[in-house]
Amino acid sequence: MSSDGEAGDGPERPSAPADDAREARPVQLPTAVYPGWDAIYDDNVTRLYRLMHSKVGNRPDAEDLTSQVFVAALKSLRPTATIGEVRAYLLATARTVLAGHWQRTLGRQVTLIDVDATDLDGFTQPASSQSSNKAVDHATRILAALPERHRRILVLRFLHGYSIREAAAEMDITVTNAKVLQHRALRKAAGLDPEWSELRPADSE
Amino acid sequence: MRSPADRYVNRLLDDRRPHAFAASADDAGCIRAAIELLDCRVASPTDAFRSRLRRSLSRV
Repeated sequence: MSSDGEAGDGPERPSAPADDAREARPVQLPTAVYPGWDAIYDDNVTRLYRLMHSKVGNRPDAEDLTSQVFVAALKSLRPTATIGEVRAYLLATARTVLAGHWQRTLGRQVTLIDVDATDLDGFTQPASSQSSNKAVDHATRILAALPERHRRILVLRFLHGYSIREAAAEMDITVTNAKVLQHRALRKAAGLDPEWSELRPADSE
Repeated sequence: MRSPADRYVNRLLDDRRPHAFAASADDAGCIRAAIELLDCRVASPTDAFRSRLRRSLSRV
């Protein structure tokens, strides 16, 4: 696994379970140094998982990719790297791992990690994070450009977690119609419908 | 509507691992839009995953 980081080699390996200490980490400056691999893991596992989940949209793949990032980084990180260097290295590794995932699964990059525009700090607290708010704003802009019925099916399915059957019942349509509606709504949301492509908000990626 | 992209998105909605397929640019656009919408959902690693990964890293 190649990465852009220069965080060195030979870290201490994480010791087996010490999960009780994983959440309580003091605020640290980026120039500070982690006391060891356990601290690197504890401070970054949730951030990396959320970053990966935001890029692939499902738990099993997010878990696999997070694991791959740590396994790759473990070989190269040196314990004297600063927190900022460690996070930059993890981010660069995550970018490489994500690119490999898309090439293997769909043969093209669907989402990417812009290491210059992404900060792992934004993935600390999902409820109040800047990243989460940006995601909501972005989704709101996408949905706002859609016709009511298309917006409704996507809100029910993606934001409220309804099954296709539940969404169909809520909208008083057949399951088949709900599937067709979801398909067409997603195409519009993706800007693939020519008459709607100009309405899609500009992507950050 | 039984395209691979639809099946892929429906598995995302069920929080299951989607199946690999050779995606067209249109497929990728739909899947990207789905992921962007799903990004609103709060995602946190489970305790089981955290513990499992920590154990596996300790053996590397």
